[in-house]
Amino acid sequence: MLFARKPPTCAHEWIAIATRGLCDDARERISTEIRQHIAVAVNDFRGRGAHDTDTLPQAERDAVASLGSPRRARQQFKKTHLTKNEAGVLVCLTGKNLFPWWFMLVYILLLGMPCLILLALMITIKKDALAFPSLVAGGAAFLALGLALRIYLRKTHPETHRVDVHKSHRLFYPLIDGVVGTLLIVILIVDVTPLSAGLAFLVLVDTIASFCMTVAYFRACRKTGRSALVAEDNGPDRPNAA
Amino acid sequence: MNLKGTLPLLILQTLSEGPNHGYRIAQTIKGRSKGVLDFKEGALYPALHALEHEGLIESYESVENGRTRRYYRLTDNGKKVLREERAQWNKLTKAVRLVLEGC
Repeated sequence: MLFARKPPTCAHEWIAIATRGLCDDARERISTEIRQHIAVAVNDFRGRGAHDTDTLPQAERDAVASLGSPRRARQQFKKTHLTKNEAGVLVCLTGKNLFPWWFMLVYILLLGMPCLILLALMITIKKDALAFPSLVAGGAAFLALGLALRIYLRKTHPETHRVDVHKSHRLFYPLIDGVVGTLLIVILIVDVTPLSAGLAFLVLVDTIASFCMTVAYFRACRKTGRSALVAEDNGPDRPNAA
Repeated sequence: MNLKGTLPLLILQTLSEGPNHGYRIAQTIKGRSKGVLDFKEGALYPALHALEHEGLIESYESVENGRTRRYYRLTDNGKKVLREERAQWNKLTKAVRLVLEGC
């Protein structure tokens, strides 16, 4: 086959493919275990009386071949281990500020998007109160939803507010953002101007980013067995499933 | 032969005889089945990690012949699940045998 992938022939290559995209802890653990596995397999080969220097690299190649497809293994590892993205989101939302500065900047900008919309709304109202009634509706919807969710959370999950209001706010912000973003896009479609189209595009990007982040957060919580709703005093030092 | 989801059960059974590391677990399964249950050893580690994540087994590091290795052992919950799974499997194979013998 023209595009058939060549199977890895050395341990390093197999490990690199099998652990691609996984968080550092998972990579380290899997790498160590697979290296140990291959070392024992080669030792077994030696124990059977093969000491020829030419056959030992062959023994390693055979051991790597017996591991099978590293891509299939990676798919399975991803079910229990955190990916880099999930570990990053978990760290970010549970309060451990271990992200590079540029990620935090992007994150803050994303979180600030509804504020930007509200600012645009205020400017628009100041210029012409009747020009963008949809923006007024969108802003009002955003505030109402945010308020309703906060009241709901205070009643159903008081611990999230008692422990750290800010964390629970961060947790549900992407959700609120997604709902409001979708609502705003629908409303803005009715009112197509360069400004509304631009805002709709920003909201769309924001909504997609928020959705991806929320999905990654819940997946990370499932893998680590932590509660997605209850904010904890301290995030994990080394987020890992195992 | 394809294991079709039986690998976790085989791992639990192997570990019920005592702690072991990945390579030996794979060799034990292959050896006991006389090579019939031949699986890619790369599939073993995701299965081991998943069982550990479910709390059925636990791992620890130990030194053997001067080399550090990760060993796995059954937890109490794992022993309980193994008993249940084994009973289910016996029931299933008995039922299948009854059907096949009836042909």
